[in-house]
Amino acid sequence: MRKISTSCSTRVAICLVACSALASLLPKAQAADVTLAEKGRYIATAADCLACHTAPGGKPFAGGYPIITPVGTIYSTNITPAPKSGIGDYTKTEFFDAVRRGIGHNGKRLYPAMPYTSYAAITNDDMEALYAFFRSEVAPVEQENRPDNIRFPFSIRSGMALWNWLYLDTRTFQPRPGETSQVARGRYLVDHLEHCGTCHTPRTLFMGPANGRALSGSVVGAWYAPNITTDKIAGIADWTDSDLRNYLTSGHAMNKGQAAGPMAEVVTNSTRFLTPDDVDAMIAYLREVSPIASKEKRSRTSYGSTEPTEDIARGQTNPDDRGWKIFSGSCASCHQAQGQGINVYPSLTHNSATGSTNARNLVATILTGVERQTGENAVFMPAFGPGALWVNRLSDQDIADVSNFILKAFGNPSVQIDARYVEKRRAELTP
Amino acid sequence: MKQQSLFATAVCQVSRRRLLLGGLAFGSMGLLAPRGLTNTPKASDVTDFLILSEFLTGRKTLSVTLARRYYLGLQDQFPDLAVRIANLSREIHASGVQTMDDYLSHGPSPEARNTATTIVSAWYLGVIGQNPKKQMIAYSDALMFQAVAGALVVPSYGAGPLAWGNRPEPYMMLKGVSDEQ
Repeated sequence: MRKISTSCSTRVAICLVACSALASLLPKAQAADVTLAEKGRYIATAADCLACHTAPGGKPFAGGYPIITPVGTIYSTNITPAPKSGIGDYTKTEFFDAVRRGIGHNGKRLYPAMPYTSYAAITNDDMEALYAFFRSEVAPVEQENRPDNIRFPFSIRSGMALWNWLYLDTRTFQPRPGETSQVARGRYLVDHLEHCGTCHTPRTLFMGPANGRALSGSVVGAWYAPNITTDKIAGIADWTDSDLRNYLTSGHAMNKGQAAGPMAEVVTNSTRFLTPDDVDAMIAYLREVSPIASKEKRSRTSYGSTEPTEDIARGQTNPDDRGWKIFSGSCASCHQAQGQGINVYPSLTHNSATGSTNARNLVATILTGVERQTGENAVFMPAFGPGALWVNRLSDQDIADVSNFILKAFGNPSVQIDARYVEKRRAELTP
Repeated sequence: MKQQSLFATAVCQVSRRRLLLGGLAFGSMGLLAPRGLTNTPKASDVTDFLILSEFLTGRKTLSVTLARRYYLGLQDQFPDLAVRIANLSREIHASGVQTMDDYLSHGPSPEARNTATTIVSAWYLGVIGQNPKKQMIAYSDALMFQAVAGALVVPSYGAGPLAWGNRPEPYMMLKGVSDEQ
């Protein structure tokens, strides 16, 4: 009894000393706020708020990023603490409701392009930190929000109440019985903060996440977010832990895949800043996800080079394959003559983009190029679509031909496309 | 004993896969031959040429596809190619040497040396014959680039930012003017 009281009093004494020491440096409340806001910065990074709430070349968190959905284009909103156009006048409850319930100012329903169904489970502690971060650490920017052009019936926002009833689970995160703390942390990150399912889980006719098919792959605008379940063929069972770690921290997993498009944004803004423990937790949870098979017979990373195309076509006055010519002129200088890649330039063999059952990521990458920040290095592939330099631009037919060549020589030869396919992807990339 | 062995061993060294590929190569040759070549070579000619080339260049993994194309191209420019190759091969046989270096020090006849040079220069340069009938067969896979592949990148191909060296110190500079402009 006495022992306990002694240790208690010692602890109180230590606390008092610590507090008075802090108080002499900073006002006590402010110090706590800073720590809380810093924690909030990490939550905001893990939740990747920046990627969608910042327009290309725009001010951080000021909104205006176009999110292209099958029902129209939604522009992300200004979430800086600016009083008029931002969230400066949101109370804490309003902020919590926006993030976790999809309810904006004055009860206006948000579209689930804002992944509030994933964020609904964010713990109260983390929400407090997030709120502190957005109040004190984000610079206010007055920038009006752009109106959406969502088609009927989705244009009726009150309809979202029904949608929420169908798809919104309002329970906050709780570890499951029997789940290790690492897997629980990974589940919190994958399913909630990082909201991986927003892109990787297919959607139903009503644009809700398809139950029972979580993380099994889905179309995202012109891109395709592949199956990341543990299925041996369709999923990522053949990716080693170090492959996944490299992918999440740098966007490059040798002979597996590279992050481009929206996933490059995720790596650039979010996953590369996660602590090593959190990355390991995500990997641990991804190993526990139920396998979901698709129709393919071979893993997308399993395709190798089939024939020595360079040896066959070089020096021929009329090479039969127009795609080879374009490849040789536009791609080979980095990806090398036999598509084998070198140093930072990825191989086109054993590559998720060329071995997939659809050519979406291949075509979208050619159209938009790649820009990814990883540590001190920036990864760059030039665009060949409308945003490219005049001398680099390729036509729909060019891109179809070069894609067909790449698919046949280095990737999944059963996938072949035509110029119309490229035209559609081009349209999907234009908001 | 040693004498008869060079080609026998060489043939043994050639894998079944390679021989099969040679057969396939022969099958598709009609498609590849420019301007309907009349004296289409036998598959075994291409295989023999590949084995001879591997001896002459001292390399074990030359491309079957390139061997076929070099052979066709050389045959186009040197109608007596088959005879010349046969003579060269016979001489190598007779000398009983195991490597190209030994053969050269053994002292080949001028004609054999000439044939060997023609074949080796094709593999190294990726180009067949002399002006005005020069023909390009390979670029990045020409052996002259492969020989230095560990250190140098084939011109016009890139190895990426990690392969870039530091900018050298400028030799001279106008006072106060950076050479960046």
